[in-house]
Amino acid sequence: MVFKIAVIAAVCCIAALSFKKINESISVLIVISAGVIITAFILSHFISAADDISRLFSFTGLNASYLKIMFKCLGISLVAGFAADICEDASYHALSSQIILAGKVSVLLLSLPLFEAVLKMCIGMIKG
Amino acid sequence: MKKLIIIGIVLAACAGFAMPCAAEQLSDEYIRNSGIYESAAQLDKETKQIIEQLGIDEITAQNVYALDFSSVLKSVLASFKTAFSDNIKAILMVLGIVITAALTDASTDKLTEKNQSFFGVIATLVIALSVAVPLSKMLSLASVTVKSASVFTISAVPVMCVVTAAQGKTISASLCSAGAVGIAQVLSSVFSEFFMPLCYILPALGMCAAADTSLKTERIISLMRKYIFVALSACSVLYFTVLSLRTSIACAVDESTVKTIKFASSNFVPVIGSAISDSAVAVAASLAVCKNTIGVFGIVCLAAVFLPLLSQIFVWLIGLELGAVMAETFGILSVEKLLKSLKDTLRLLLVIIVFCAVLFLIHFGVLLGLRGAV
Repeated sequence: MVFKIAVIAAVCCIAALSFKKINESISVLIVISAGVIITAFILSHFISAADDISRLFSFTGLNASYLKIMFKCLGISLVAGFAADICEDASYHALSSQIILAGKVSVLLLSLPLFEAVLKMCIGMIKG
Repeated sequence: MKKLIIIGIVLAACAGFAMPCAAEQLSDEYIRNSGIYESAAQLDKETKQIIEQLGIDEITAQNVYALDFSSVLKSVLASFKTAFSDNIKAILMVLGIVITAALTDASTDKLTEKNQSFFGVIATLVIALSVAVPLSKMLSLASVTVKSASVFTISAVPVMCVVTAAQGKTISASLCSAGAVGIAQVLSSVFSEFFMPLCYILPALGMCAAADTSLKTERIISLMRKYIFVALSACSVLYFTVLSLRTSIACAVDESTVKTIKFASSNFVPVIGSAISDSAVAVAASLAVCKNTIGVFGIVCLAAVFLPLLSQIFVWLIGLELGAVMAETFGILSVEKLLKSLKDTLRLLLVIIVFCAVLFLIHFGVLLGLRGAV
């Protein structure tokens, strides 16, 4: 799997470099396409192992909703990071900052139940 | 005439060998009537199981002195195994989240605030939630354990003191009894009113600080730990010094009293004075066996009371240490902070529990160390 990803990334990189001098927008499109293909490749392998992973986590006995929140935050971080990197490659730093801000706000909003649960737990512990 | 002398020597030798057997039989009867069975009945089910595993299904001198290293080791290992199987899920959860955060750290480093990864904070919160329930259960177990040890000490030490008093050490026994009852009650209330709330507040502070690495509460936690260690050490040294001094003085007074009574009975009581004095020696021998049996049984019971809790604390300390080392290696600051603060809390709890256990055990040890005055 890693070998295939490395080959795809190398080919797209060379193609993007070649098109950069001719038409910069096409090189950005090539980079985005490469990222999407690689992500789809990784996700296809991850989904096949998702059942095993969820079974492992259910063995630990933790509330499944907390784990869902954690993995959603992970997904948001990865997507926002990828999008921000593409914008930075294209020298659009302002857009990159906005994407990062959007990612942070999404993670914060999504993790509010976690903060609430930890706060309730801390108050309960302090009260004894 | 020669035959009569030989028969007399043989009879005297038989009587001499019969004395230890008689002493053991008498001591078993004394143990049954002493009240130690009622004290042992107050122990919880898990402690009783551990004592049965050690081979002490009945409190007799034979069973107690048959205790060997292999059975003790088996009980300790069984306790650790139980603690490990009860807590392995939560520990694996912690390690799994640390590994996940470490693997994804490079991909999520865009979303950072003050050098702190957002995903690292989320992972810290999930770890806090997964550790909270087993930690609360352990703190409740600590409270129950200290209370149970206190109740057992209050009931068993006076039993041993009565036997010691019957041996002639009345002042030493009363000193020990008063000290043990007093310390058991004080420890039980101090533990539940002061140490337990502290052990709940410290992890809560650690969890709040872990969510924001700019909030530095480790200093507060380490300062509290340091001063509690100093206070506990000072209190224990003071108490042991006072107890030892008073016990040694009381011992000397008891010995002189009993020797005076022996001298008076053997010299001033006509005809049977020396017989009374010698029979007191035989009774004292039985009482010594009884006292030692109850003392050793008491020490074994207290060790069995504290063993499950200590096993749980050690298992968690190892798990949290492993998680903290992994988080430190992979640079996940918030997780490392949380695990270190939880580890510090458990270390503090361990010190307090060991302090309580030693204070309860010392009274049995002091009474065991008292030789009979007769």
